[in-house]
Amino acid sequence: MGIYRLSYKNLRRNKWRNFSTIIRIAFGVIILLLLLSSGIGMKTFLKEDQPIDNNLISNQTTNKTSNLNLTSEELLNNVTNFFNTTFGLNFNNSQATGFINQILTNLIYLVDILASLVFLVGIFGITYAMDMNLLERRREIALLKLMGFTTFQVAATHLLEAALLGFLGAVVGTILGSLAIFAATNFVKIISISVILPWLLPVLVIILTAILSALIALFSVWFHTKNDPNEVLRHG
Amino acid sequence: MDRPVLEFKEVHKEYDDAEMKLIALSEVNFNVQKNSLNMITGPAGSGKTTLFHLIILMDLPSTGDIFLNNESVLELSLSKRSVLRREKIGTMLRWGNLMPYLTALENIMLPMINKNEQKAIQIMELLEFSKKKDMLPKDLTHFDKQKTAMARALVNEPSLIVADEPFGDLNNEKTIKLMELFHKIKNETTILILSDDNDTNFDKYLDSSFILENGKLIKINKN
Repeated sequence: MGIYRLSYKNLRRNKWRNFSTIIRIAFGVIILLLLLSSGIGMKTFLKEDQPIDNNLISNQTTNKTSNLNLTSEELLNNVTNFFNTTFGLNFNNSQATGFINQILTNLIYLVDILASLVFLVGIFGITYAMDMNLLERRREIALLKLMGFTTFQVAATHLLEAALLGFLGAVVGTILGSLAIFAATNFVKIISISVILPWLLPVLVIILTAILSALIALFSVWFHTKNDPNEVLRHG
Repeated sequence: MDRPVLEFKEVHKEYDDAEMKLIALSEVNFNVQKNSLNMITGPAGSGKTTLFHLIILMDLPSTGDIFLNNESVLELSLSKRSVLRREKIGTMLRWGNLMPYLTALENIMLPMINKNEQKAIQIMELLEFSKKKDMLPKDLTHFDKQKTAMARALVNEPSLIVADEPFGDLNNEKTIKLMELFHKIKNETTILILSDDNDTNFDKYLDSSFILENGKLIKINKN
């Protein structure tokens, strides 16, 4: 039996361990996709729809209000009145539009910050998932070393496995995340701001997650191969 | 007389601590002849683990030299020593240490260089447990696990098999049976057992026997 066939056997026989690793990675990818695509959607919305005079509401609502038999001017008046009566303000239409623009811009910054945090948490999650997987396999790594497999051989087999688990986790996460985004944009039309999922984003997420998983595994295996195999096998 | 399979010449091993030097092995000299069964006994802390690491080439001595098949290992890189270990040294450990998700046969074939299933089955037949080839380690007894580890150590036809505490979890009856198996396979290879078992008398099986105490090796019988 070759050491690479050992990876295949491990993937087949440790279904639950590998399944949980894939799910943990997929979860991180779903959250990441949702936030990234929300951010992209909002940015695109502002870039495309923001009028020259910053009169966001008037431009944006032209089409939307036609079905309600309201002119954009009437809607803007309504919105301004809503702000003034609810918050005790004294905005004119232009000030209300600027206020809404400011809120949306801040919201984008917030989503960007959240996406960055989730990206870090996602990386941490993938690191944790891969490291837990490898921690459970410290004895196997030690045994392979003791049998005379080189560090390169031991690392290569785990690297392949990790890349495959990362790839599968990213694919599952991307499919579920895309479905969620699709649902959000098509069935939950609470606001007119769309959530955009450019085709490149899932592809990049899948590739990067697979590479990241492999690199994390490589580091972790390198770390574990430095341990005394006999000591690991005796005391765990 | 044949040249020895393994030879330690004036081997000294010490570890540098921040405050003091720890001498693990001191001026160790011994050799094991081809197709012989040898045993080194010593209590915990006597230097057995250090000696085991040196024999399986995981570590190198501070001074002195180690010869495997008449060739010094001092100049070999870590990677070359790994390859040499896989090809020329079979290792056996306490509890067998098998891959839990591989069958007995797959465990035996794991380090195999030329993937010859028939050869692996032949070894299982020699050790009289070929019927258990498809069983997973969790379904094997301690004794069968040690048989599997012995077959795995033997599968590449190594020059030397080193067994570290192979009797650890066996009762007296199985310990003697395992020793009989070692005696049976010594015609195929050379065997060196490291053990802390001083209670069982293995004299009739052994070609040479040593005691390790405080890093010093003493030969206690000559055949």
